[in-house]
Parts: sequence; C-alpha cells; structure tokens
Amino acid sequence: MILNNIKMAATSIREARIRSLLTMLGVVIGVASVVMTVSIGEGIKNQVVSQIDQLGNNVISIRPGRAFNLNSSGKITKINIDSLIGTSTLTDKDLASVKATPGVIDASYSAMITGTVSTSNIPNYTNATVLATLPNNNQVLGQKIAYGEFFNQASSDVATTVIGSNIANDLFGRQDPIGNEFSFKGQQFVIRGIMATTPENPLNFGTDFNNVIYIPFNVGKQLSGGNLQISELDAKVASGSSVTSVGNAIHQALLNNHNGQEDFTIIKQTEYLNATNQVFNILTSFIAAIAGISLLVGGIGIMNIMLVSVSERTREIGVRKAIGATNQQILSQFLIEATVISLLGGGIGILLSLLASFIIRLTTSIHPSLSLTTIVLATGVSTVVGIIFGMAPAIQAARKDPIEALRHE
Amino acid sequence: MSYYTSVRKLIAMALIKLEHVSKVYGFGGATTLALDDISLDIERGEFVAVMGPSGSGKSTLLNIIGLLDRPSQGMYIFDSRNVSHLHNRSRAKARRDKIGFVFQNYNLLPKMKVIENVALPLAYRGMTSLRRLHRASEILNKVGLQSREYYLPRQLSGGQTQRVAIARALINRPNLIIADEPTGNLDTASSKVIMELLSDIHHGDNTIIMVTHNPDLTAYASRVVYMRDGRIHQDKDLGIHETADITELHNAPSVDEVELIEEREKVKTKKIKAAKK
Repeated sequence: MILNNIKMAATSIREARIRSLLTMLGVVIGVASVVMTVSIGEGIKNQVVSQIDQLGNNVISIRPGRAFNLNSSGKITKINIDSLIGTSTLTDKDLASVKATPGVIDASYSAMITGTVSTSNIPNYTNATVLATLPNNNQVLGQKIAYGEFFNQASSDVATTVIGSNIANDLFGRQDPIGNEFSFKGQQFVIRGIMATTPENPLNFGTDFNNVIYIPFNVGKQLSGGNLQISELDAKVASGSSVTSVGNAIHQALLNNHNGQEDFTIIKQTEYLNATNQVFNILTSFIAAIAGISLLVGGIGIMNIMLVSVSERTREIGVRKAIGATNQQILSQFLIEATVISLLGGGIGILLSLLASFIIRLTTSIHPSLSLTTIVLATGVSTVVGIIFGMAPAIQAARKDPIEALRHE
Repeated sequence: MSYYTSVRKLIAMALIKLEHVSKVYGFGGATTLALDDISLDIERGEFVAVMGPSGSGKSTLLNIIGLLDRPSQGMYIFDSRNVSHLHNRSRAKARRDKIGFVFQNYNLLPKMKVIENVALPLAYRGMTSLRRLHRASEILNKVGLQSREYYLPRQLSGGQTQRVAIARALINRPNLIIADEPTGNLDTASSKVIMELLSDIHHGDNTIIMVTHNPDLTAYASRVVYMRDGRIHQDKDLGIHETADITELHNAPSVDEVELIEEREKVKTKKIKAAKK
C-alpha cells in the first residue's frame, strides 16, 4: 500500500508539475541554503585547520605582545588587537633561552618586512609577504622545499631567497625561477628554492605560506637599517615531549628574560586548532540556523498547497472512502504525497548545493566540503518537514465525511 | 438450538435487515427526520428498485444500507452482522469487501486509467499491483471494455464510463451492489445497455439495490420500494418484466395504513365474534 501511495503521489505530482515545483521550491531553497552554509563552513574550517595542521602539532609559536587572554580551561576570553601593532619584545636572548629549554629540538625566528618586490617584467608586486628568517626555519616548521634548497648557514649573509609557489607562478610564470632574480628594497635576490604548495586558506587566517618570500635574517636586517623586529619565534618540540609542559617551560624562561612581564604570547597549535574549530562550529551552526528559517517557510508552503489539494480533491476522497478506503489509508496517502514532495525538494536542494559548491570551488579559493552526514541530515530533515507540515492537511482529508465528500462538486 | 438449525437460520436470514431505523439530521430545533422508523428486509438475490419523490429519504436509506452513514435509531443487520454502531474503520472495511457502489455521475478518478480505476478497491485490500490489474482486466472483459483498459475516463462515452464504474463495483465480488440512479446521466440507448448489464449481474445471483426516477427501469427489478416522507409508502414484488405504476404507488394507501386497516378489521371481527357469543 505504501508503494502504491508513493506511486500515486508521483502521479499527482506529475499531473500538477508547475504547482508541485513551486511547492517544492521552498524546501529546495531551504535545504540548498542550509547545506551550502554547512558545507562552506566545513570547507573553510577544514582548510584553516589543515593549514594550521601542516605546521605540525609539535610547533610552539611565540609572538610578541599579549595577543589574547586565556581562561583557566584554555579558552580565549579576550583578544587584544593593540598587541599586533606594538613593538616586538622578542630578542636573540629569547631564542637562546627557547633553544635551551629541555624538549626543544630547534628554534628559529622570523621578521616581517613590508615592501614591494620587482622583477624586470613585473615592477611592483605587492602580494608577497617578505619574511627574514634563519636558515633552520623550514626545518623548525617542517616545511618542504619543492625545488632547490633553503639558504644555509654559509649563505646567511648573501642575498639569496626561497619563495612560495604562488610567488613563483606570479613572478616567473613558465620560466624556471631558480637562479632568477628579483629586487627588494634595492637589493637583488637570487632564488635558491621554491617551497612546496601548502593548503590554501580563504580567510587569510595567519600567513599564507604560498605567498611568502624568505630572505636571510641578516640581509633583512641590513635592508631595514640594522633594526629588525622579530615577529614570530617558533620552537620544534621533540616527539617524546609534551607540548604543554614544554610550552610552560618556555613561558617560564621568557618570563625570566622579560623581568616577569608577560609581553609575549605562546601559541600551541593544538590550542589554535581548538579555538578555530570552536569559532567555526559556532559560526556555521548560527548561519545554518538562519538558513533553516527558509526551510520552515518551505514547510508552510507545502502545508498550504496540500490544504488546497485536499479541498480540491474532496470528491476523490469521497470516492476512495466509498469503495473502502479507511481514514488511515487516506491519511497515509496525503502524508506520503507531502513527504514525497518535500523529499524531492530536498533532493533537488542537495543537487543544487552540489552545483553551487562546484562553482564556488572553481571561482573562489573556498573549498566547500559536503559530507555524507550533511546529505543524510538534509534528507532526514526534508522528510521530517514533509511529515510535520503534511500532517494537518492529511488529517483534514482523512476526517472528511464520505457522503459530504461525494456530493462535493 | 442445534447447530443445524442455527446454520439454517443464518442462511435463512435476509441479507439486509432494517428494524425501526430512523435518521435525524441537524441539531436542536433545526432537525429533519430523513428516515422515520423504517423496517425493511432484503433477501439475497433480490433486485430492489427504490423510488419516490426527491426528499423522500431514498438517498439516506441507501447511505445507511451502503454503510456510508449510521442510523440515529434502530438496528441494521447486514450479512448476519449487526452493523448499526460499527466504527468508521470497520464500516470502511465492510464497504471494501461486501458492497459495490455505482453512482449517477460515475465517480471515476479522472487522472487514473480505466484499469487502475477498476482495480482501486483491491488496492485498499493490500493486493499486489499485478494481481489487481489482472483481476481488473478480467472484469473489464466481462463488461465488454477490455479494449479501453488504458484509456482515461474522459476519453470514454457516458455509457462506457458507467460500465467501467460497474466493473469497479464488481471487482471485490460484493454481496450487495448499490446503484444510485445509474442511468440518470445517460441517453435511452446507453441506459438500456447499463440496465441489461445490471440485469445480467442480478441473474448471476447478486443482490442489487437501485434508486431510480424512471418507472420503466423497474421492469428489470424484482421488487419496488416506494418512499414518501421518510417512510416506506409501498413495498411490492414485481413479476418478470412488470413495471411499477408510479401514480398508483404514490396514491395507494401506505403500508402502515394498510396494516392499520387490517388491525381495525381484526378488532372488528373480534368484537363481532364477541357480540355473537
């Protein structure tokens, strides 16, 4: 009987194609917007997380200034924007202290230098983040070199450079960048290596390593008139050691260096990950809830059309009852019809969001991620919407008096 | 009572037995008495024509007999079962399994093919699609419309449509067929075809109750029940091909009056006898 009802529902949907489509539209838009929101949110989260993750969970970063306040359970309670523009308080002494901390394998720091890069073809390239750093930086951060090599101790005073993959593409296109040159602040730099491509981050949350130009710290220092502020200090923790305890030890060592002043922030990747996950989950569910309102509207649309349909088909209901349909059979007929409409709408919505995801992926750097859970959930939700909003019309149909219904014109 | 006699009694019992059935519509002061204390037995194999002016309670009677409605008072025994106070669900099942309806305006579902329309009652029994359609095809063959199986109702003539409706009424092998002015929308030729078909069905040992305004059609019936003001005014067996005379039926004293007269006669004779003594 259920199969029969589904068949009948399909027939009546086919018969009133335009109307059914319009009825579905609410659910289509509702499901599509919820699924889109969730998949974009998930996608961005995944990208951010993978970007954080690629640095490895065993890296501890120390930034100058107190970037945010944490409560006892490690959650961020306040973000201090001021700290981002303050003068750096990190020094070579701090680097030595961090290196000396037990459990730290290696440590490095880098400094950001603002300015534009020029080649003979491209005069003022602004997309690069120029970081002056130490020769061991890529090993500390676990970054891979795709071609060539990172500058070493011997070349740390020479104007050599390693560039991110985007920079290589932008500046040199099809040419081989290695051995090529660009100028920065009047200094010619020879390219020694190209970094491997790292996952993109659509929000530019932190540094995009594909857009980085690494130059030796000493060279950078000369270009900046001998005064270069350390913008980040990174420590690689030995695999056997606990990141938290090493982090605490570094914290203590730096406090000593800074006369007890906490004018730096220690960022452990795990904390960063947690915070990011937290923020994105809240954001995604909030926007999805707003999008869910359209689903509600879609449900009401279904109810409205089903009520019209029941009243139009009063006579049919009368005939069906006369030939022996029970109230329950009439109820399930209309309930199934509403559910089929809603499910179809949900299906179309999912397909639409797949298409939209595809277009977004092609045209932006966001990679929406549509998980099976989301699809199953969307299907479930549209079924529930159909049942909930189909119930009232179906009950109305089932309760019709057969004699009255047969007389209905 | 022995088993034998109880079985005998069951067999002997009329298919339809109405005892003092009344039907009241409306509430409070605005009530109408549609059926007024009707008692009626219809045996298996009868072809009863129900006649009477509009508003005389024919439809109400048919609705109650067809289990679409419940009597306000009285008892209704259908197929040896008291169905006066059945729940909606049981009444629906009884309609499905034991009663076939034929309506004046056919009442086929316009969006379903002829064969699907005919097969629909079986769907509510939970029969598989294949078996349903097979049965429907057989029945359509009986009414001579097998070639129209996959037409839509609107593609058929009135007479053909009514034959489809009759096929639908027959498909669950009902104990009773209720026809509410089956030829009301048809021309004479088509009416004749439909009545011949109903007559054939009747001769196949089926019970038919038919409401009609056309006295000529009573030629096919074995009995005529004439209603007036919610009561059975006349109830008369008809011979083969005998038609009822509607004016005579209308003007004849009511069954109750006759009973009353008979009662008076009895009292009179008693009195006379007593006087003689």
